[in-house]
Amino acid sequence: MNAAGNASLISFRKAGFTYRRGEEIEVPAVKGVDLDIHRGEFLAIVGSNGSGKSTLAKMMNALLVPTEGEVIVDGMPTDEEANVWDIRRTVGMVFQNPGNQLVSTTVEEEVAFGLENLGVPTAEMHGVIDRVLGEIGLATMRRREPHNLSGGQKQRVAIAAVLAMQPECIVMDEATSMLDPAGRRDVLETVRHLCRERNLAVVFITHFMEEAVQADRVVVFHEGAVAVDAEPKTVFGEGLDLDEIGLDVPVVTALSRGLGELGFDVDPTITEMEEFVEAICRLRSRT
Amino acid sequence: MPIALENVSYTYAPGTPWEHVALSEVTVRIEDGDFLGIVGPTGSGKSTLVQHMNGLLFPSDGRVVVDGDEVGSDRKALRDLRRKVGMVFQYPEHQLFEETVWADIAFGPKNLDLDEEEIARRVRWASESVGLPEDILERSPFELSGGQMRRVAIAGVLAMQGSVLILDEPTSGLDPRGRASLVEQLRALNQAGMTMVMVSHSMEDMALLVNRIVVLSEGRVALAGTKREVFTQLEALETLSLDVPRVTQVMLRLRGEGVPVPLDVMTVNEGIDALAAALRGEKDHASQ
Amino acid sequence: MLRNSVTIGQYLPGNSLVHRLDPRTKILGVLGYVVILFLIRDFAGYGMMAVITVLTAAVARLPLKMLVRGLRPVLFIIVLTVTLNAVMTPGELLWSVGPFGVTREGLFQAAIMACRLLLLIITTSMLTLTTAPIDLTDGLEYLMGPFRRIGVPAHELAMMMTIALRFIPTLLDEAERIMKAQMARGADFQSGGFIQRAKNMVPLLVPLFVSAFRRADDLALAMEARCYRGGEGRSRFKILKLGPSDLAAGLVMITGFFAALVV
Repeated sequence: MNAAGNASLISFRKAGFTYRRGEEIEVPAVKGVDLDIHRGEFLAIVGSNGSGKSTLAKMMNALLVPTEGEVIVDGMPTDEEANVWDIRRTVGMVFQNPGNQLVSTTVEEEVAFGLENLGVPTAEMHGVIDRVLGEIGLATMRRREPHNLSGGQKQRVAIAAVLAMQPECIVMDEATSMLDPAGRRDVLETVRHLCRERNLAVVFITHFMEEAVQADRVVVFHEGAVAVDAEPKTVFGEGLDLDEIGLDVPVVTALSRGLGELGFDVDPTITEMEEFVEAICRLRSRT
Repeated sequence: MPIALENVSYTYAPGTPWEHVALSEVTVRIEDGDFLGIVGPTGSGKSTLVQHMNGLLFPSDGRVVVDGDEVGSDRKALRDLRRKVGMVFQYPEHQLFEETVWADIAFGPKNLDLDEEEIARRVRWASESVGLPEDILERSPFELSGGQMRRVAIAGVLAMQGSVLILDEPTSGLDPRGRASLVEQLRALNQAGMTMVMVSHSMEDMALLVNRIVVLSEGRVALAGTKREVFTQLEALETLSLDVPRVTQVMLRLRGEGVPVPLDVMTVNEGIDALAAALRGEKDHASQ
Repeated sequence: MLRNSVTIGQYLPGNSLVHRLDPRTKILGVLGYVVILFLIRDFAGYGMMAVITVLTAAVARLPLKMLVRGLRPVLFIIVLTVTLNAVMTPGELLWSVGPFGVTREGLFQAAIMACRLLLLIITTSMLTLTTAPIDLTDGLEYLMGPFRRIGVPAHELAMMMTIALRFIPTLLDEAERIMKAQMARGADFQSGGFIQRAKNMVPLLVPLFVSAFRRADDLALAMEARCYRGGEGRSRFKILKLGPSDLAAGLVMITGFFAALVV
């Protein structure tokens, strides 16, 4: 194990995964991936539908075990049976469909579910549940039925439930794709807060570049492999053919590119609003 | 075939502890060839509203008039209405059930007792309208990707060949490429004369597609007008915690810095033009 | 909404004396009630049982109107059972319609069945209306606990029930949505003979099954991801404790049942 601040928490070493249906049909979903996810970082993985990003996510907590190469979580190879439960406690996961991942009929029971699975004594549970629900802003909803919550609230319940198990990392597997804009913002803000305040690593999987560029690091995933691994600032500077990959660019990037084509001197790799506003103001002052 | 909702109110489960007023006194009019957008926070009554337009729900109070006739519970009239007003629910791929894509798209036309030839013609037209490749038609809908399943489901409604199409969150969950091509196809259908109503959280889709927008809040019409009129009511939208399109947000921010750009700018292309005009305009002023 | 018309399995949150009873007390109470229902065969007894039900409903502050409304979805079964009993029981013929004859014994039998079914359904729905689903399963798990030694997987059964309860409203909503979606494509769920109607259900049932399996898959994955591995080594969040009100309620119930048996 490595306790250093920026050390690798999850390591993919030439890891691949092939779905086998019956004897013959083989669908390689992830191919020879080398990737390190560090403690406390906010990593976005962006790719179109069918790029294999969801398979990649499931390899991070031993829900899928690589069919080639290896994945190591906090020093533990995921293909060793004995490590599975420690790995899943270390790397929690929030899934796409808010309605389908909640087991219990009240919010507090939902948070308790993971603790019960870990065999945490009843007396300790209440404290943990109070703390976690407070942190995620769900303290007033503890008796509510998940069924009657909004999508964004359900996802926050799922985050709280994972958080109670004291993980080192939360994988958000397209966890915002079924939410309305308000819910989406809410969930993104929640995990950002956890990353900042708790030094929790967050792997945020999405097919929207607009969301991805808000991370510390962006991995563009295409046809089962890492196409680009860069900071948001430079992700568009590497000759990335987004049309081929089936992704869009953030609006400010699209505007910058368009203006560039019209002959204005704007950096076409801008990804953030503030940067864009600055660039336009600079252009004006020059005239 | 104009659709008019006049002072429509709707209450779920009246007289039970679960009673819930979903709509109150909503008046909306949809003209032929219109593309109406309906937006509002989750739970504001959007889905309830559109289900009144083809007789899946009946108003508790007020009335719905389609093509001059009030919608009632007469079974034959209802069948007629549902044939003319197609409805694509949210995540429509969850309603697929047939063994082949062809059979699923043909389900609606078959219910209309059409002859084989007409059914075949409609299936082909509907699948082309949503860009389904020919070779997919004989496959099982359950082996397709999510995006393709969505198209099959939409084609299944299109094959009814109604004159109005209602869509509830048609692009939700699609990736950018899938979203862009579906938006294109919906636009083409509207331009070919189909009246459309779309419920969506995506202001970008609204910006690209609709002419008019109705904003619902807690079952009431909070705002209504052309999309430009609605998207420039920033304060009202903000109190409902609704967004404006991303490009409009950029323009707003630039205005705050004193850049003279218009606010009724909604798409990337409009944004580039507006910015170029603003920057050039200033240059011209400077050189004069 | 469809799920609002089904009272069985619904929970109506409240804070009445009945709501606050230990789930085990309520489960055993209903169990006892059902046994007694099938033991007695006279109307005075059913009257007594009805009194117990009405009184409990009053204490639980459940509107009777709602309980009666909850009968609607099962009305068909009740009518069918009652009719069958009326015409199938041999005995003194009262009047006959074609090949069917209604007998005095048949009428009596039908009335008995009607009383049993009505009371049974109303009372069991009262159990779920006043008990949060999770408490219900907790109670059942506790009650089944002693049978674990003879191989009854008490925890697994309880977990299955929790999940079923958790997903019933979701699936009902889903069923309604699919039904409407198919109706919008001209599907007809209401007309035609029995066979035709059954056939017409295919566009509803296939998607519903597909969706149920998809949800089950998703849920299983989510549970595994949160370290669920069956009842072994699991701790409990909620510990059930019997209180004085449970003792009192138990005594009242036993007295009531006894009275129903002897009247």
